[in-house]
Amino acid sequence: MIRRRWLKQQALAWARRRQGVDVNPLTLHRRRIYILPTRHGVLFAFSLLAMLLASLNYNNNLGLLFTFVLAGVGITALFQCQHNLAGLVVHVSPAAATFAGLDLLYPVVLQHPQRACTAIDGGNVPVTVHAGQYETTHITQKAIHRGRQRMARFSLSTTFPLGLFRAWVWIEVDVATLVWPQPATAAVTANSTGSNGATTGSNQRGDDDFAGLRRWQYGDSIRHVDWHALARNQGLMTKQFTSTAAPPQHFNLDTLRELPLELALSRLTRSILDADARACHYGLTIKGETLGPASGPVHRDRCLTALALHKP
Amino acid sequence: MLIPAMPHTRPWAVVLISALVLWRVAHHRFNMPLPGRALRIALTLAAVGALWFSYGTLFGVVAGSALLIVMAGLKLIESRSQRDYFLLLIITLFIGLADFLYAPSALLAVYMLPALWLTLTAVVIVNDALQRISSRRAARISAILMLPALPIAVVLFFVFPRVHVPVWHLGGGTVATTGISDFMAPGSISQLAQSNRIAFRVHFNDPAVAATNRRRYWRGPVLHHFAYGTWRRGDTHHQSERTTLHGSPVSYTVTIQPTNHNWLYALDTPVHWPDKAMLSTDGTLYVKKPIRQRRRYNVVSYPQARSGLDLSYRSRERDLQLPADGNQQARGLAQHWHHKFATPGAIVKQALALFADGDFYYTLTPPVIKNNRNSIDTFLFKTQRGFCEHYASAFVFLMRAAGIPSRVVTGYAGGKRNPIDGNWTVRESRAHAWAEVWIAHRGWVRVDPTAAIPADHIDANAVTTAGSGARSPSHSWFNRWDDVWIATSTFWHRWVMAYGPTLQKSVFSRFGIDYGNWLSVATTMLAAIVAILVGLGTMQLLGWRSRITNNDPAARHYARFCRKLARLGIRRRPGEGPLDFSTRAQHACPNNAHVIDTITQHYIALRYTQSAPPDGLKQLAQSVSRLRIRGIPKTPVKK
Repeated sequence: MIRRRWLKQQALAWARRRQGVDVNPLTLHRRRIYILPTRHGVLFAFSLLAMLLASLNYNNNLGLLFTFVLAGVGITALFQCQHNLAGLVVHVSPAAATFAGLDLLYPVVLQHPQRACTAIDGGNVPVTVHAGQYETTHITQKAIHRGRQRMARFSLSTTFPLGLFRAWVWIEVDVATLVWPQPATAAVTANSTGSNGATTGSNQRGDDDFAGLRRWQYGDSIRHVDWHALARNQGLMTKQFTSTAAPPQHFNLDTLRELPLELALSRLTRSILDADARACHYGLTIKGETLGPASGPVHRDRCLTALALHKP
Repeated sequence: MLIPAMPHTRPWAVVLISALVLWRVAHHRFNMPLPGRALRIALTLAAVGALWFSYGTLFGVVAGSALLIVMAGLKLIESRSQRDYFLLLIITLFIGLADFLYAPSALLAVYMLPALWLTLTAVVIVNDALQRISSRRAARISAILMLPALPIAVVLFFVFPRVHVPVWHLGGGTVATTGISDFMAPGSISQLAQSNRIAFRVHFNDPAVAATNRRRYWRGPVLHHFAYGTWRRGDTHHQSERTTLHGSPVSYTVTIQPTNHNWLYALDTPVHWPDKAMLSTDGTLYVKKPIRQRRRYNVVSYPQARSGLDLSYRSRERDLQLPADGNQQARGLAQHWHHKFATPGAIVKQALALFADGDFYYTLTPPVIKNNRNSIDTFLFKTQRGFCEHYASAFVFLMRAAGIPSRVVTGYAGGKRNPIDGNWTVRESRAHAWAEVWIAHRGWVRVDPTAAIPADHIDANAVTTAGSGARSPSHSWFNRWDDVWIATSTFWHRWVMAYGPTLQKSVFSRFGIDYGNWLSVATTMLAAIVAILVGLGTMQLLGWRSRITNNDPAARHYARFCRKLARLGIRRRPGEGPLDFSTRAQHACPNNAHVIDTITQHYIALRYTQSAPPDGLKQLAQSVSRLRIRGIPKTPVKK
């Protein structure tokens, strides 16, 4: 096991030395395509050997010729398999930010200026690139830690013409994606300890003090629309609540100093997500910087990014 | 690939296979469900049991190929994943090989090429995981796969070392008995006279000999024993008889068709013959095993040699044998000659004169002679119509009755020269029977009684054996085609079917490679393979590129124009429009500015506007073709 891993690392290092750093977009040059027989290829070779022996045994020249033609086909298949990948232009884009522990999907655009490339594996589905057209596939990689994660090496491979050989490339481009901390489980919320002079969240659920209706304005949350009014043909009206509906929540990392850093960040993430789900205002103080009370997806992303990139 | 195997598979297997194939097709077209696991297992067991029952064994070429075929059918209805299809491919390839092992022939080889192409196309389609690839494209890809494979196969075929591998015969096929047999009765040779099949072909090593048009007698089995109108070989005994060589030798190679007999045909008095053969007392070459495959063998003969100079007592008695009674008239005539003439030569001449001057006719359809006891008498004195076997039979009878040892020799006479490769073709229609008489101090002398018959007594339908084999002029094109076919077939047989260690040795020595040293052979093979791979690699480097086929002819011509310019360094940038490119090109080579401008205008008019002149396309094509760039200023070399 260890041997194997070590071997793999050595191979990677050798490949990296040999190929250099990859640019983006990357054209697959013949020199970087590796090719080996597949299991089917080995079986094919053994079958050819058996056929050769049988033909020699019966001294049958046509059988020999047949075997040799098949051997020739095998050799040509080697070249065609490599040729299937050669010249492919690969462009990797950063993936959308996601939480640690989930999958990152990197969109990869493949195209070939002159001909078609068939059955390219490596992405989530095998892809066929037609001549002069683009095809997009996604490379799935696991988001491991929070922070900026560089895209790990991935491979594109094909066994196309006969399935006897597998030609592959290793691609390592300098594409990084933001990974947010993994949110803690919902049971533990930051609200219990993280509110700064705010009432606990039990107010927010269940009974809101209804304070009246006003006309709906652009930007009002759709959750606060009074649907009964609409049903009575009174138009779109927004429900308004008293100010016991929470003052803006404020989260501070310093309050969670006794917890391990990652756990604290996880809990803050969960709090932010919950607050965002309830569409109420919230703010975040981290390392002296305050992201003011606001709501909406942009604010949420900024808070999460700050959490992700936090260095103690 | 299954189809060539069909003729020699048992009918129930054929039916089963067809049913399974149809099931699979129905599954594709009509979504009929494939059989479940239990049914498949039951089918498999039943099929194997039936195979065992029919063939008695599961090994050997015939039974084995039947097994493979059944397995293929069962696999077909079970295949779902790529691995299954791959196994199906392997089985199919083995079936193909079994076809070749069973009945190798040029026709099969020619058929196999498209069959292999089709199989590979199917594999290519399966290998596109989404299976959306078009059949045409898959067919093109598999053609690209096969084309370089053929020269590789040819090189490997010639270079791969052949050794005499011990043959494990796991059951062979059967070959029908053809040609002349080792007994002769009235009608046995005339029935071959209509057959156009080739008996054997001859290649004379000396072209001068090959060109002379003498009537050649190819010796087959010699018949000694006469009883009830039929001649047979009789007892064989091995006592060598003295032979003296005269004249010049003739060296030749015979390619004989499978006959299921164990004699070889050769010109008279073979002196050197293949190792596996032996010369019998009566001058015929025999081999141990019947000939079941086409074979080649070399012989050196001395046509003017004299054999049998010391005739042993046993041989003499054997060749004077006559049945106890019957044919009294013939015996009487022979006795009369015996008393009348002094020398055996005179008796022979007298007998030939009888045929020449009497009312004898040579025909393929003589009246049937019913009485076996007096068949000679009936022929000589009543019907007087017969084919070569009648004449030979009667002649030898007369000679024996006159006290001259004589025997019937069967074989072939004549042949036709193939102008294309100079080889001689002898067909079954040339089967012939003649006689040999023993004369003191001269040994065995050939006498062909049919040669004595005057030409106008020869029936039209019997011309081929009686005459010297003149070509019928009315079918000249047919003859020509026939000759071409025979020449090709001989070449094919020599260089493909019969390519073996000896021939390989000679080929290697011509290239200066020592065959015995296996190291050098291995090196040669490796060198050949490496050369091929290098060749393929170079082909790749130089660009196995296929340009995007553009359906618009104007765009194609414009692409040609751009390529011509690109060759001289003026490359069109990606996304650069035709006008911009034209400006740049005119700037780069002002001498041809006018032509470039014309071409661009034509192209734009054709491609982007509706108002192109009707022959604009032709004009565009012509101007592009005629474009010759001269006087390109050299681009300054960047340091």
